[in-house]
Amino acid sequence: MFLKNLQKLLRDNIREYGMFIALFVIMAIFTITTDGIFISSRNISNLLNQTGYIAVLAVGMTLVIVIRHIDLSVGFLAGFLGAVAAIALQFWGLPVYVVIPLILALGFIAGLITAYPVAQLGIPSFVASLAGWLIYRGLLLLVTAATGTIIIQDDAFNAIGNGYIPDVNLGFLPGLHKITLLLGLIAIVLFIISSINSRRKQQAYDFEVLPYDMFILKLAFMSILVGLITWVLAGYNGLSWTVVVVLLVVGIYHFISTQTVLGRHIYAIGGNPEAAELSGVSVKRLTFIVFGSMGMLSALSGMLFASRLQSATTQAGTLFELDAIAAAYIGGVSAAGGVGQVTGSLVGAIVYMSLTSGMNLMNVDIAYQYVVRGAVLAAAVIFDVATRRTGK
Amino acid sequence: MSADARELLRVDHLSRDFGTVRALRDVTFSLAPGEVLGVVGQRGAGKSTLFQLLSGVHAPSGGEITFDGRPVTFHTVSQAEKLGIVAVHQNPQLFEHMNVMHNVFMGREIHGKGLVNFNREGRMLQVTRDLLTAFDMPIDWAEESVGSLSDEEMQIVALARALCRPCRLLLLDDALEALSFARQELLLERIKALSEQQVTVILSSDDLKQVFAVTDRILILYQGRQVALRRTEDTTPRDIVELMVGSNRQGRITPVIWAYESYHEAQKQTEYLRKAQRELKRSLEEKDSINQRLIERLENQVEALDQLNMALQEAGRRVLMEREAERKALARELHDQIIQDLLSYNYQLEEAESRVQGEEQRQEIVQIRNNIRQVVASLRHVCSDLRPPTIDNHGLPAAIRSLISKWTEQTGVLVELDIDPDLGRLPEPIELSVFRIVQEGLRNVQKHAEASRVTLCLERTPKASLHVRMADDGKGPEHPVDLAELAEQNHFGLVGISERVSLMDGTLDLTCRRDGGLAWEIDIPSPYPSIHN
Repeated sequence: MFLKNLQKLLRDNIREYGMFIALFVIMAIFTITTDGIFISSRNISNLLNQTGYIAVLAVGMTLVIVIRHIDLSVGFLAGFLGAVAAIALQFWGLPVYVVIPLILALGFIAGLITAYPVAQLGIPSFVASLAGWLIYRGLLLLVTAATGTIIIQDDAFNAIGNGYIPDVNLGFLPGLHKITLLLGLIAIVLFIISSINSRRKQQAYDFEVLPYDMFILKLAFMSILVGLITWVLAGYNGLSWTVVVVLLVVGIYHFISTQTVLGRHIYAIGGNPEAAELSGVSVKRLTFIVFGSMGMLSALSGMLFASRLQSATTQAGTLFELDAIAAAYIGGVSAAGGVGQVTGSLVGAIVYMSLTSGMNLMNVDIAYQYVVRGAVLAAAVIFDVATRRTGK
Repeated sequence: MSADARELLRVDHLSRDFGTVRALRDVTFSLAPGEVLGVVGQRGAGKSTLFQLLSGVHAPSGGEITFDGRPVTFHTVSQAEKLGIVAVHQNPQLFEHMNVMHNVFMGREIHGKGLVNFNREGRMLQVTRDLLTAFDMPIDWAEESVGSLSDEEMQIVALARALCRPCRLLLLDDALEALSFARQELLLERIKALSEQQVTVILSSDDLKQVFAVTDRILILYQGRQVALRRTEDTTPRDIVELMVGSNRQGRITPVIWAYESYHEAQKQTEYLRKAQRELKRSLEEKDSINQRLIERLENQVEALDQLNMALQEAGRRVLMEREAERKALARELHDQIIQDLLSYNYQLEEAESRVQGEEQRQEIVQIRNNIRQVVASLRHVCSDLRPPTIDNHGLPAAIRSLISKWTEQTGVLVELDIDPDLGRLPEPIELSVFRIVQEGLRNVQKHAEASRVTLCLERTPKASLHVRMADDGKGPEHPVDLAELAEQNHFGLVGISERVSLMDGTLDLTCRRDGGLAWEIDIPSPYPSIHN
């Protein structure tokens, strides 16, 4: 019975669990080939910090692809807004708490500008955002032309990309980050409570729910996963601010996309735009919202990147958009629209960055790295198409 | 002004052009809350266009819509839905990757109030199930994916979507057609109920019976123009059809009105036929399986019979062979023992005769010796009857020839004999059987035919290995030959022939000749076709 349930669960959700499996396989391979360096606290912590700015973009890109569009401008938009943030901090002397909302707002506006030709004029988003790609690249070169690389000296700003959450010294578990462990524990407890609650609610309304043993298995699996990650992170410097930001973004977007009317409408548009329009869903409005959020996340990504480098460079943001798109596809977003989860894209981004990080540790030539990453992307999309044909 | 207060929707000179096509021109009417308006017209009359303008799918090219006392212009469906105008369009579009419940509530979610509109899926599921029950669908259907629905099921989803939340104006564009008859009735009841709750309904249908059943007024469109707006109780289907067709010529109206009037009936019939078809299919399937079983049993029985038959034939063949073997043994016994003994007694008597002095005694012994010779002769005759001695040594032709010459001698009937010189030897049982058949045939002629001439012909044919034909010019049978009858009357001649033939897998063909007399032909396949000298 247990095995049968497990089989059914895996078969029904192979698309969802596929990338978790892929992530484990990749991590296991790198752990073996690098003699455990890959799985070390320090490397995992670095890996997650590197993933941050791509993960944020991938989350936004997920929704863009879900509504059957694409946004190529996000890379250089991120670079450009990172440079603007640096200028605002260094030359205009604005404080961090003004700069961050300002840049986010600018990003949102930039997204709306990209959305305008797409939503109002029906121009393909590929073309519209390609124009944005060129424009923002030009603007980035323009604002950094006079100074070249701008060094950022604001500690608060730089902490976003490099800092870790503070710890308290309780006198036990030396060498481990206590607050991180505590947060991990709280996360696990909250996850379990909310899972049980929602299961109870679903049962009250006679929804189909997972069999009891599978439910327990899923809880245990997720708890162990979260526990392991916090344990590993606590072994180094604990949670970084980047990870906190990413988790916040993913959490908010996950909630919006799965629990709200807005999320339903976004997926409806992706599934059947015509039917959505006839159902009173305003496709235009949602196109603006999705592209706007993409622009805002680009701004966030740009600031994360600038903060991590503690400077704004003329090349910032190069190829971010393609990394984000690849991460989204690896994370299970369907090119046909209407299918794909924000959490999936986060895992996709981690898979993608793990490949880079692992191969760097193995001293694989950059040429081969591109080939491998391309192969993984192709495999992910083929997997997506193949599983869709056979099932759901 | 008091009339205006009771007015929910007013449409003034509403028009819409698609390019140069004027799809709708100058439609004007107003509706009170709870009023039901039927829109009728032929295809292309502008019905759907009117529904699209009212529901916000297209913006009007001219004219005005006033809803609830305020002029409104709809550019999107959501604007209309916000005011409580819900439409079910022809050919509803669904979201194939979502389940029925999500489709029903798409764009009309039940959500929490506040900053974030989170979904209340439990409530939505309950409402969906209630609606499904109302439309006589199973409730677990709510969580089915809509990817593989039939037209009717898709229409039900679309209707459920329109009915899942309260509305003020319900637009049903040909929403009844895809439904089964029973569900159409359910929907009509529902429309009446909504009308009582002050919901205004506009519906179009090709079924005038339905239109007359629920509407208060009827709007007739003809080629995009509004030709009339009638109170339902003041008009008749015939008037409506005249206006719809745009003519009162009998020839044009009759087929149309006939079509509209019989539509209802036709649909009921269709429904009935469909059910009957299903039942028929099921009963046919059952019958099929019974037939199948019967055929199987029959086959088994036939097979068993076949086996029995084979066994019987085999037994018959063995009986015949054993009889022949017995006869052979008997003949040998007679020949080798009794005849030899008799002959040796004869010699002894001859020797005794030479020793006997008395003439009288000698004569007596001579007499005895003659008698013994006669006994030996008749014994030899019996022997050759039992077992034609020639058949073993000289083959069938010689045996038959000797048989015939004896028979002619005995009966004086002339036999015309024609034996294929290439006849060659055949397996012993066959040769014997043929010999017996000829013997039986001759006996038959002798007994019954009073014939003066008999022809007998034996030949090899390419088809069968042996062909035997015997014919006489006697009086022939009185009735057509019936073997079963003959057997009952203990006339075993022909019956015996036919039995022997069938034991050799041969065929017997009896014919009564026109000039009297009986003829029969037999074909015997050879078990060893290669035997040819």
